[in-house]
Amino acid sequence: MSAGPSSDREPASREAAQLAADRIAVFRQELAQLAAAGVLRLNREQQQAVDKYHQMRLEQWRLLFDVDTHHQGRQFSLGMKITSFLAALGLGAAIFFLFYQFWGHFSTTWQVGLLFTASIGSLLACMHFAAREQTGYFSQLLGMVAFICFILNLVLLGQIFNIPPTHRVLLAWAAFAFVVAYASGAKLLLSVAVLCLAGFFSAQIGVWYGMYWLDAGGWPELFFPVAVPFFVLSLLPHRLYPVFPPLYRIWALLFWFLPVFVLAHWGAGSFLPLASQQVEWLYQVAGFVTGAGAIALGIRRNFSETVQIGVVFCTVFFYSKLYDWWWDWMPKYLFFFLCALVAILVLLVLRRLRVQSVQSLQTMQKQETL
Amino acid sequence: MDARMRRVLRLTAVALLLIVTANGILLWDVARNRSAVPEAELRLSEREFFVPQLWRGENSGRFLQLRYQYIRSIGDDGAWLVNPWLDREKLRDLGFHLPEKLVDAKNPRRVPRFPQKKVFLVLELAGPAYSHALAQARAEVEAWHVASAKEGLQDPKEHLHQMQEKNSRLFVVDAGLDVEALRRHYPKRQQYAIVPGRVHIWWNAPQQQEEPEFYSRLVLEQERIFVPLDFAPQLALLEEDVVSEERGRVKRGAVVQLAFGTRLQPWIVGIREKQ
Repeated sequence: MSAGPSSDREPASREAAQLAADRIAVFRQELAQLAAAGVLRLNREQQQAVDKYHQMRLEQWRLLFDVDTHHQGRQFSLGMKITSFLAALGLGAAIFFLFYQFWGHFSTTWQVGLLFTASIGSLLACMHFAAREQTGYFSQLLGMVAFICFILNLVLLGQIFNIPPTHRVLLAWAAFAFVVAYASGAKLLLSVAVLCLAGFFSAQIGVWYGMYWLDAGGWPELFFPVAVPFFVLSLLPHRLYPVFPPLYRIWALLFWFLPVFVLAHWGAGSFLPLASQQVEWLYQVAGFVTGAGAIALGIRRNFSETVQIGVVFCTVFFYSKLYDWWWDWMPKYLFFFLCALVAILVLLVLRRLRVQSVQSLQTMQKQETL
Repeated sequence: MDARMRRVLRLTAVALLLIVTANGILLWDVARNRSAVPEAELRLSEREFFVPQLWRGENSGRFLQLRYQYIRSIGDDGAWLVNPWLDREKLRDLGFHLPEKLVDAKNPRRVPRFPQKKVFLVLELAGPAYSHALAQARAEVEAWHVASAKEGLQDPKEHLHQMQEKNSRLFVVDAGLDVEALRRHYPKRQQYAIVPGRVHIWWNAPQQQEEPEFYSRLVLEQERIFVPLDFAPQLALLEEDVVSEERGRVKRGAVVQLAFGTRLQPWIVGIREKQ
């Protein structure tokens, strides 16, 4: 069986294959529209060749990656993903409470052995499914269970041997969650890994600064150094994991914008040797500038999540400032009227920008045609 | 074997290595802590522990919660001071550089924040701090007159009884950043244990008009001690109450031998009934 003209660009993962299948569905709909409008009508041979080629590709991806080729199939897949997530939560909680219910009846040696075996066993079960299952429902479910077993493993060992809690354990959990996420393609585990790693680095920087590791959460600036590496990581090629880079970008932006937002209203939480008010002004400006920067970068590089987060934070920054300036002394009807007025103004500016961007795109297309 | 299988196998190997390494490091740390002669070994009683009851229905693990006290004394203004030894100078030694005077005391936004710091705390068992607390309680009884007693104040006789019979004899007496220096200062390993802890400093104005003052709090890192299955039967000695005519309602009584290893992590060496 011939792979056809696009065989050199075979999708490498289920996500990539699903995107390609979705593109075919859109192409078919558009072709039908064009035919109905009388703009383009393929002759019988051409139509059959296209249909045959698409059918072959879809069948190939269905066999290889178990992609959804119909709308109903996609709806079922979404339901299965949610169910898989709930099952992972339920199973994880069950293991957690099961262990706590009975661990007191075992000797220390047995406790250590059981914890170790549970970690290894759940990991092997997850990897068994990860190697065979295309959809990832069971491997992702078991990946979450393996992660919970590993958390239990280290937490309970710490309790058994009276070891004080330390931030270093976050590094071990992050590494484990990264490995299992890349094996099973689980976005939830990747988020957990990112959070654990961010927690570790912020705590470590706090420790270098001389503070107790759990106090790092009270100093938002400690999260800034984490944002940059995650954003850089999202720019690296992820051929096998096309859904991971946007996730890295979302977390990187949150590690930047959330601390900026907090510090824009709570200057006392800053390390900067400035008065609280000055710190707040500084971060308010930083919030607006970087928010606008995120929108611009997102549009330029076609990062939709970057644009959305930039817009959300710019709006939140703006409205929180309006609240600070006007809420106390202005009648409420006037406050909300001005908020609406500002929103309409932003809408007009965005519409103008949109028209300009479409015009510049059309100009570029014309130049390419010539 | 296809590329996907090879990738999963590689990642499995990495994850297995992670589990083995994390468990190995932890167990190696435990072995190092317990291998040499303990850094300190205290013989504590039921007064220094209680058995936490939280989640007992769901958690079959057994723990002892350490009970300890802080040194208290009456200041020049007649108010009680907790940890009077933890003054500005001591805090400076611990790495807290407190300003002599606040720049703008009325503005809570100008009050400096200090993150908690990890330090080593010295626990003293039935030593001068306990004797001083007992003497203080006796002096209160002597000075107390029923006529001048204000409503709601604790009967000092009851307080003295508590101090003599029930309250913990374990006191936090010092803090430092260097374990060896602290050990040189407190060489008795049967009476003084050095444990990891932390110091928390904050500013607060008791009343709106007053200038904020700094407050400090000391917390032990490891207050819960795991009880292995071997000592489960003896745990009842610390849980069950007995009523005696002389002493009232008290615990049956036990001696808990608690060792602190080279890494300052504690473990229970033995629990036996008090003779």
